[in-house]
Amino acid sequence: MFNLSSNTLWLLLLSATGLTYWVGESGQLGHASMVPVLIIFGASLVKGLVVINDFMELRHAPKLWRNLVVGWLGFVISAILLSYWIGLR
Amino acid sequence: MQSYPVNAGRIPGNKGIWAGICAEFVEFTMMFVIYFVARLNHPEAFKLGPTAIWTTAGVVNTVLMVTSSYFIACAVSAMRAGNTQRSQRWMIAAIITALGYPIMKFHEIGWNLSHDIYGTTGVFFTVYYYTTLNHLIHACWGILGMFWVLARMKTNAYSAEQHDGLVALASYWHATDIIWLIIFQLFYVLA
Repeated sequence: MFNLSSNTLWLLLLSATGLTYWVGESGQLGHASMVPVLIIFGASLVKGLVVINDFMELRHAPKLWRNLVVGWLGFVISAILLSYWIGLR
Repeated sequence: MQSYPVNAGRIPGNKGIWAGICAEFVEFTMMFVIYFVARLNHPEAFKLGPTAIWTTAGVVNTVLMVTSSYFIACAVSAMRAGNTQRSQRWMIAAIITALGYPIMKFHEIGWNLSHDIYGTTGVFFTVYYYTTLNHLIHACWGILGMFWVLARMKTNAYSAEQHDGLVALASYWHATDIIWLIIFQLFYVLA
Protein backbone atom coordinates (compact mmCIF):
# COMPACT_ATOMS: atom_id res chain seq x y z
CA MET A 1 0.00 0.00 0.00
CA PHE A 2 2.73 2.46 1.00
CA ASN A 3 6.35 2.62 0.03
CA LEU A 4 7.51 5.08 2.63
CA SER A 5 10.28 5.01 5.23
CA SER A 6 9.38 3.67 8.67
CA ASN A 7 9.87 7.18 10.14
CA THR A 8 7.19 8.55 7.84
CA LEU A 9 4.90 5.62 8.63
CA TRP A 10 5.34 6.23 12.36
CA LEU A 11 4.33 9.89 11.89
CA LEU A 12 1.36 8.70 9.84
CA LEU A 13 0.29 6.39 12.70
CA LEU A 14 0.58 9.24 15.23
CA SER A 15 -1.37 11.59 12.93
CA ALA A 16 -4.16 9.03 12.47
CA THR A 17 -4.33 8.66 16.28
CA GLY A 18 -4.52 12.46 16.64
CA LEU A 19 -7.30 12.62 14.04
CA THR A 20 -9.26 9.93 15.90
CA TYR A 21 -8.84 11.78 19.20
CA TRP A 22 -10.01 15.03 17.61
CA VAL A 23 -13.12 13.42 16.05
CA GLY A 24 -13.91 11.69 19.36
CA GLU A 25 -13.57 14.89 21.40
CA SER A 26 -15.40 17.10 18.87
CA GLY A 27 -18.77 15.66 19.90
CA GLN A 28 -19.52 14.54 16.34
CA LEU A 29 -20.09 10.93 17.37
CA GLY A 30 -23.35 9.61 18.76
CA HIS A 31 -25.55 11.51 16.32
CA ALA A 32 -27.50 10.02 13.42
CA SER A 33 -24.56 10.13 11.03
CA MET A 34 -22.13 7.50 9.90
CA VAL A 35 -19.55 10.03 8.62
CA PRO A 36 -17.46 10.50 11.81
CA VAL A 37 -17.59 6.75 12.46
CA LEU A 38 -16.35 6.05 8.94
CA ILE A 39 -13.52 8.57 9.49
CA ILE A 40 -12.28 7.01 12.74
CA PHE A 41 -12.50 3.45 11.42
CA GLY A 42 -10.94 4.56 8.12
CA ALA A 43 -8.05 5.77 10.32
CA SER A 44 -8.04 2.35 12.06
CA LEU A 45 -7.89 0.58 8.72
CA VAL A 46 -4.97 2.71 7.49
CA LYS A 47 -3.10 2.23 10.79
CA GLY A 48 -3.72 -1.53 10.71
CA LEU A 49 -2.55 -1.82 7.08
CA VAL A 50 0.66 0.09 7.83
CA VAL A 51 1.45 -2.21 10.76
CA ILE A 52 0.54 -5.38 8.81
CA ASN A 53 2.31 -4.55 5.54
CA ASP A 54 5.31 -2.57 6.71
CA PHE A 55 6.09 -3.25 10.37
CA MET A 56 5.07 -6.93 10.28
CA GLU A 57 6.47 -7.15 6.74
CA LEU A 58 3.58 -9.33 5.59
CA ARG A 59 3.79 -7.52 2.26
CA HIS A 60 6.56 -10.00 1.41
CA ALA A 61 4.95 -13.06 3.05
CA PRO A 62 2.87 -15.71 1.21
CA LYS A 63 -0.31 -14.06 -0.10
CA LEU A 64 -2.63 -16.37 1.84
CA TRP A 65 -0.97 -15.40 5.12
CA ARG A 66 -1.18 -11.68 4.44
CA ASN A 67 -4.79 -12.01 3.28
CA LEU A 68 -5.72 -13.83 6.50
CA VAL A 69 -4.48 -10.96 8.68
CA VAL A 70 -5.83 -8.19 6.43
CA GLY A 71 -9.10 -10.18 6.21
CA TRP A 72 -9.32 -10.33 10.02
CA LEU A 73 -8.92 -6.55 10.24
CA GLY A 74 -11.50 -5.98 7.48
CA PHE A 75 -13.97 -8.41 9.09
CA VAL A 76 -13.71 -6.83 12.56
CA ILE A 77 -14.05 -3.25 11.27
CA SER A 78 -17.01 -4.22 9.02
CA ALA A 79 -18.76 -5.92 11.94
CA ILE A 80 -18.26 -2.82 14.13
CA LEU A 81 -19.67 -0.53 11.42
CA LEU A 82 -22.62 -2.88 10.86
CA SER A 83 -23.49 -3.06 14.57
CA TYR A 84 -23.17 0.74 14.87
CA TRP A 85 -25.40 1.25 11.81
CA ILE A 86 -28.02 -1.15 13.19
CA GLY A 87 -27.93 0.83 16.45
CA LEU A 88 -28.64 4.08 14.56
CA ARG A 89 -31.75 2.76 12.83
CA MET B 1 15.70 4.20 8.75
CA GLN B 2 16.86 2.69 5.51
CA SER B 3 15.09 -0.59 4.76
CA TYR B 4 16.83 -3.79 3.76
CA PRO B 5 15.39 -6.71 1.80
CA VAL B 6 13.42 -9.22 3.83
CA ASN B 7 13.07 -12.96 3.40
CA ALA B 8 10.40 -12.75 0.74
CA GLY B 9 7.92 -15.57 0.28
CA ARG B 10 7.99 -16.93 3.84
CA ILE B 11 6.19 -16.28 7.10
CA PRO B 12 7.97 -13.68 9.30
CA GLY B 13 9.64 -15.19 12.37
CA ASN B 14 8.63 -18.81 12.87
CA LYS B 15 5.52 -20.96 12.59
CA GLY B 16 5.18 -21.34 16.37
CA ILE B 17 4.65 -17.65 16.99
CA TRP B 18 2.05 -17.56 14.20
CA ALA B 19 0.06 -20.30 15.91
CA GLY B 20 0.07 -18.01 18.95
CA ILE B 21 -0.84 -14.92 16.90
CA CYS B 22 -3.76 -16.76 15.24
CA ALA B 23 -4.98 -17.88 18.70
CA GLU B 24 -4.72 -14.26 19.88
CA PHE B 25 -6.77 -13.01 16.91
CA VAL B 26 -9.44 -15.68 17.51
CA GLU B 27 -9.55 -14.85 21.23
CA PHE B 28 -10.08 -11.12 20.65
CA THR B 29 -12.59 -11.81 17.87
CA MET B 30 -14.65 -13.59 20.55
CA MET B 31 -14.37 -10.55 22.81
CA PHE B 32 -15.43 -8.24 19.97
CA VAL B 33 -18.44 -10.51 19.33
CA ILE B 34 -19.32 -10.10 23.03
CA TYR B 35 -19.02 -6.33 22.52
CA PHE B 36 -21.32 -6.40 19.45
CA VAL B 37 -23.98 -8.52 21.18
CA ALA B 38 -23.86 -6.37 24.32
CA ARG B 39 -24.00 -3.16 22.25
CA LEU B 40 -26.99 -4.35 20.24
CA ASN B 41 -28.84 -5.21 23.45
CA HIS B 42 -27.78 -2.11 25.42
CA PRO B 43 -27.21 0.67 22.83
CA GLU B 44 -27.60 3.52 25.36
CA ALA B 45 -25.02 2.07 27.78
CA PHE B 46 -22.49 1.79 24.93
CA LYS B 47 -23.28 5.27 23.64
CA LEU B 48 -22.65 6.86 27.04
CA GLY B 49 -19.85 4.52 28.20
CA PRO B 50 -16.91 6.01 26.26
CA THR B 51 -17.81 9.52 27.51
CA ALA B 52 -17.17 8.32 31.10
CA ILE B 53 -13.84 6.66 30.24
CA TRP B 54 -10.56 8.61 30.51
CA THR B 55 -9.92 9.16 26.77
CA THR B 56 -6.43 10.60 27.30
CA ALA B 57 -5.31 7.28 28.83
CA GLY B 58 -6.46 5.49 25.66
CA VAL B 59 -4.64 8.00 23.45
CA VAL B 60 -1.42 7.71 25.49
CA ASN B 61 -1.60 3.91 25.31
CA THR B 62 -2.13 4.09 21.53
CA VAL B 63 0.91 6.35 21.11
CA LEU B 64 2.97 3.98 23.32
CA MET B 65 1.83 0.92 21.31
CA VAL B 66 2.48 2.35 17.83
CA THR B 67 5.80 3.87 18.96
CA SER B 68 7.09 0.65 20.53
CA SER B 69 5.99 -1.18 17.36
CA TYR B 70 7.99 1.33 15.32
CA PHE B 71 11.07 0.89 17.57
CA ILE B 72 10.89 -2.91 17.18
CA ALA B 73 10.58 -2.55 13.40
CA CYS B 74 13.74 -0.39 13.57
CA ALA B 75 15.48 -3.08 15.71
CA VAL B 76 14.68 -5.69 13.02
CA SER B 77 15.87 -3.37 10.27
CA ALA B 78 19.16 -2.61 12.09
CA MET B 79 19.77 -6.32 12.74
CA ARG B 80 19.15 -7.10 9.08
CA ALA B 81 21.72 -4.43 8.16
CA GLY B 82 24.24 -6.24 10.41
CA ASN B 83 24.31 -3.50 13.07
CA THR B 84 23.68 -5.54 16.23
CA GLN B 85 24.59 -2.72 18.65
CA ARG B 86 22.11 -0.38 17.02
CA SER B 87 19.49 -3.13 17.02
CA GLN B 88 19.98 -3.58 20.80
CA ARG B 89 19.52 0.14 21.39
CA TRP B 90 16.24 0.11 19.44
CA MET B 91 15.11 -2.89 21.49
CA ILE B 92 15.89 -1.07 24.75
CA ALA B 93 13.90 1.94 23.45
CA ALA B 94 11.02 -0.42 22.59
CA ILE B 95 11.08 -1.94 26.11
CA ILE B 96 11.07 1.47 27.83
CA THR B 97 8.16 2.64 25.65
CA ALA B 98 6.22 -0.60 26.07
CA LEU B 99 6.65 -0.46 29.87
CA GLY B 100 4.74 2.81 29.74
CA TYR B 101 1.63 0.78 28.87
CA PRO B 102 1.22 -1.11 32.20
CA ILE B 103 2.25 2.06 34.09
CA MET B 104 -0.42 4.08 32.27
CA LYS B 105 -2.95 1.30 32.81
CA PHE B 106 -2.22 1.41 36.56
CA HIS B 107 -3.00 5.14 36.59
CA GLU B 108 -6.07 4.61 34.42
CA ILE B 109 -7.53 2.05 36.84
CA GLY B 110 -6.78 4.42 39.75
CA TRP B 111 -8.60 7.19 37.87
CA ASN B 112 -11.53 4.83 37.19
CA LEU B 113 -11.86 3.84 40.82
CA SER B 114 -11.79 7.48 41.95
CA HIS B 115 -14.64 8.12 39.47
CA ASP B 116 -16.67 5.11 40.71
CA ILE B 117 -16.07 3.08 37.53
CA TYR B 118 -16.06 -0.56 38.60
CA GLY B 119 -16.60 -3.81 36.70
CA THR B 120 -20.11 -3.87 38.13
CA THR B 121 -20.98 -0.26 37.25
CA GLY B 122 -22.74 -1.32 34.05
CA VAL B 123 -22.56 -3.69 31.08
CA PHE B 124 -20.28 -1.35 29.10
CA PHE B 125 -17.75 -1.21 31.95
CA THR B 126 -17.84 -4.98 32.44
CA VAL B 127 -16.95 -5.52 28.76
CA TYR B 128 -14.39 -2.69 28.94
CA TYR B 129 -12.54 -4.18 31.94
CA TYR B 130 -12.72 -7.71 30.55
CA THR B 131 -11.31 -6.78 27.13
CA THR B 132 -8.71 -4.18 28.17
CA LEU B 133 -7.31 -6.25 31.06
CA ASN B 134 -7.01 -9.23 28.71
CA HIS B 135 -5.11 -7.01 26.30
CA LEU B 136 -2.85 -5.84 29.15
CA ILE B 137 -1.98 -9.49 29.90
CA HIS B 138 -1.06 -10.05 26.22
CA ALA B 139 1.06 -6.88 26.26
CA CYS B 140 2.87 -8.08 29.42
CA TRP B 141 3.72 -11.36 27.65
CA GLY B 142 5.12 -9.30 24.79
CA ILE B 143 7.22 -7.20 27.21
CA LEU B 144 8.61 -10.39 28.79
CA GLY B 145 9.42 -11.55 25.25
CA MET B 146 11.28 -8.28 24.63
CA PHE B 147 13.46 -8.86 27.71
CA TRP B 148 14.17 -12.39 26.46
CA VAL B 149 15.11 -11.15 22.99
CA LEU B 150 17.35 -8.45 24.55
CA ALA B 151 19.10 -11.14 26.65
CA ARG B 152 19.59 -13.19 23.47
CA MET B 153 21.00 -10.11 21.74
CA LYS B 154 23.49 -9.67 24.59
CA THR B 155 24.79 -13.21 23.94
CA ASN B 156 25.09 -12.50 20.21
CA ALA B 157 22.41 -15.09 19.39
CA TYR B 158 21.22 -13.13 16.35
CA SER B 159 23.01 -12.06 13.19
CA ALA B 160 22.09 -10.31 9.94
CA GLU B 161 21.45 -13.74 8.39
CA GLN B 162 19.62 -15.42 11.28
CA HIS B 163 17.35 -13.46 13.63
CA ASP B 164 14.05 -15.34 13.43
CA GLY B 165 13.53 -15.04 17.22
CA LEU B 166 13.64 -11.25 17.00
CA VAL B 167 11.24 -11.21 14.02
CA ALA B 168 8.89 -13.64 15.83
CA LEU B 169 8.71 -11.28 18.82
CA ALA B 170 8.22 -8.31 16.48
CA SER B 171 5.31 -10.11 14.74
CA TYR B 172 3.65 -10.86 18.09
CA TRP B 173 4.03 -7.27 19.28
CA HIS B 174 2.68 -5.85 16.01
CA ALA B 175 -0.34 -8.21 16.24
CA THR B 176 -0.95 -6.98 19.81
CA ASP B 177 -0.68 -3.40 18.51
CA ILE B 178 -3.27 -4.03 15.74
CA ILE B 179 -5.71 -5.44 18.30
CA TRP B 180 -5.19 -2.39 20.52
CA LEU B 181 -6.01 -0.08 17.60
CA ILE B 182 -9.51 -1.64 17.49
CA ILE B 183 -9.94 -1.68 21.29
CA PHE B 184 -9.03 2.02 21.46
CA GLN B 185 -11.84 2.98 19.08
CA LEU B 186 -14.41 0.71 20.70
CA PHE B 187 -14.00 1.78 24.31
CA TYR B 188 -12.40 5.23 24.30
CA VAL B 189 -13.83 6.94 21.21
CA LEU B 190 -16.99 5.39 19.74
CA ALA B 191 -19.86 7.05 21.59
